Amino acid sequence: MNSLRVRLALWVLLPLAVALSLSLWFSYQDSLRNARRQQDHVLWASAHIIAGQIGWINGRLYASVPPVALEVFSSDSHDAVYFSVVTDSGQLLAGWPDLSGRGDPAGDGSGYRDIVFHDQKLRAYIMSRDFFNSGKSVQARITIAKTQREFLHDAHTLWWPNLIRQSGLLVLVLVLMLLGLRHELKPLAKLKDEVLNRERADLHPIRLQDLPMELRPVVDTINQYGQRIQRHIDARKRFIEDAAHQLRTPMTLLSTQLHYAASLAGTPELKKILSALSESRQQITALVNQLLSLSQAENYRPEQAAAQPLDVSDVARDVLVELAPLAASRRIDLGISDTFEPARLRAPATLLRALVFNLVDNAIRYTPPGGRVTLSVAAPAGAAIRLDVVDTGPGIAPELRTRVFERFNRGNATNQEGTGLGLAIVAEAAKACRARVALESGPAGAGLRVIVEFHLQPVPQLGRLGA
Amino acid sequence: MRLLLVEDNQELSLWLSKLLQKEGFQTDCVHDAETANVLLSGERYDAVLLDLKLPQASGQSVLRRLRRRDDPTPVLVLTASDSLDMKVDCLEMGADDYLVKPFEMRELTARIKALIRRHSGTASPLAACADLVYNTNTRQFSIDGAPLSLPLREHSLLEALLMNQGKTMSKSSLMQSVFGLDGEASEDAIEIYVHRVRRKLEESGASIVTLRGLGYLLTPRHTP
Repeated sequence: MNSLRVRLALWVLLPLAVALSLSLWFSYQDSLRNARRQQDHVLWASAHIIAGQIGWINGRLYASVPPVALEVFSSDSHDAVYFSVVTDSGQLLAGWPDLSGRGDPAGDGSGYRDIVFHDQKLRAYIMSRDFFNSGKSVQARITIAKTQREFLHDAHTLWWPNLIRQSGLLVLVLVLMLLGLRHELKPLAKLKDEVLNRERADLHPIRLQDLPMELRPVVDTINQYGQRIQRHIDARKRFIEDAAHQLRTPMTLLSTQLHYAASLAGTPELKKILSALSESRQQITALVNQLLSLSQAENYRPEQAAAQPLDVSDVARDVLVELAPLAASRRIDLGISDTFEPARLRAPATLLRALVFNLVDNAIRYTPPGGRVTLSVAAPAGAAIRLDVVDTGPGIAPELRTRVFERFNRGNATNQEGTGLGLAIVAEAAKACRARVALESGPAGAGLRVIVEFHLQPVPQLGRLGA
Repeated sequence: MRLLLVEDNQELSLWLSKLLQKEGFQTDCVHDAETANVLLSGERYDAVLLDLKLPQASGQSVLRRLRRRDDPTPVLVLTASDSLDMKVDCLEMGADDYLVKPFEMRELTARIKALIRRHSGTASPLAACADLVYNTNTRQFSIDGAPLSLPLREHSLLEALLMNQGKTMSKSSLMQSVFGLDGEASEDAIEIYVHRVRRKLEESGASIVTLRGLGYLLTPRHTP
């Protein structure tokens, strides 16, 4: 019973049903009254006809009941009609002997009565009339009674259309109301869908216009809540950036000290230790730089750093030149494929570079010596610009392909020198560059192919392209 | 050569100056903008190493004041921030170069030397890649100070690669540099010369790297 729609419907329908029932009851009473009035009139007319036929014959009072007096009652209901004419001395002039006196024990009034006769409920009319003849006065009491079938039938006939009408009204109201509710609750459903279908990190306020007034406070509250979460997230991101920043000066100090120590080192063993220290120091430096790079990509706001016109192939070429020494030291054959064409787009320069750099750097680091890493850039007319990085490394199992974009997740590799942030940076930078990144198996099922597609429209999901 | 190091972290300042002294630079250390301004208006330095984050007045203010006096002393900015805006700001304000912490010592000294060289304009023009140095006046190569003599074709090849550092050179453009326009030689010949020069560079910090599809590139060796 937690559906707003059902509850609203009940709140309208229950009072409405009560009101309609009351109205029906009143109209039933009206129908009864009308039917009674009709019936009473017939009783009255019949009594008067009978009374009119009472007369003196040879000094005696006679009553003859003409057929017409009873014909007035004729109907389809086959009601039983009883009558009696009795003098004040108790002489029965006509009709049923035991009818007279019922419902009128005092025997003085005239009027309508409800009586029971032979176990039947009857409506009776009683009247008295005085008859005079040569100084003699006799009072005759005329009683005419009738079973209630026709009356009830009439009452129902009168009431029935009301019942139909009002029930119809109730059904009509119900249907209209359900339609109305459905229509009016649409904004609520729409709001639900909007909130439900949002991207995980999308905390933009929900638009207030087009919303019914009653929903606005709710949406306002949701928006405020979102803002609060956004502030928390911002603070956390700032913390990472600040922390990485604060690490830089001590890192420089450490580097300087190590360098100085290396210039003084005497024994070969000390030299070895210092060079190992220096290597560790470089790994930490790389991690700090990657953290900053990730933080930058994460904090990217289009309104802060405008995208600029760039050529993906130029960026790719620069990255190749930059990474050539690393590739050479690992005996990786680094290069481009036949498809390597100019591809202009607008993107934030540092992030596009970070995107390509981390992909190629990753490919070089995870490919065993003697392998190949190949870049291609395609700009087909009317389609998305596409950058492919293909390596001959171990590849990534399909079930791990979405997880490798998580921070510090290195897929199935365990003892590599990478920081574990490369693909996380790629994911964030791709978002900022409106690109979609997908992983596939390399040619002939070996190695890894990373596909980056640059769209003109923002693309919410990541890693869905490859199957 | 005399340097002014403006760095608020005293320990870093101490070790940097030790190291720079070892490299042959006479280094004065100050830790705030105020003192830096005083020294810069009175003394003459060959170069200034300037940290941007200083107590009270910022490094930018020192730079601005220096340039307002039309003092052309080369300034190398050292900073913990690698935001693009910051870089652009500094260069526009008159900094000559920019290095983000943490930097490699070799890179720092190389950049200082390059700055001073560029600024003095009198020293013989040198091109260098790691410890491979080329004197464009005498047209002499040297590795770590030791002269390296090469036959004509190999010399032209290495010269072309060295003068185009940071870029790849295709076989055809190398052919033009080595054989001139009247090239009757085949592209295979280039491979042979590259192979020979590579062997002669084995002991140096520079190496010729091939990028498949793009060409050759002279670059410092990767150091782990």
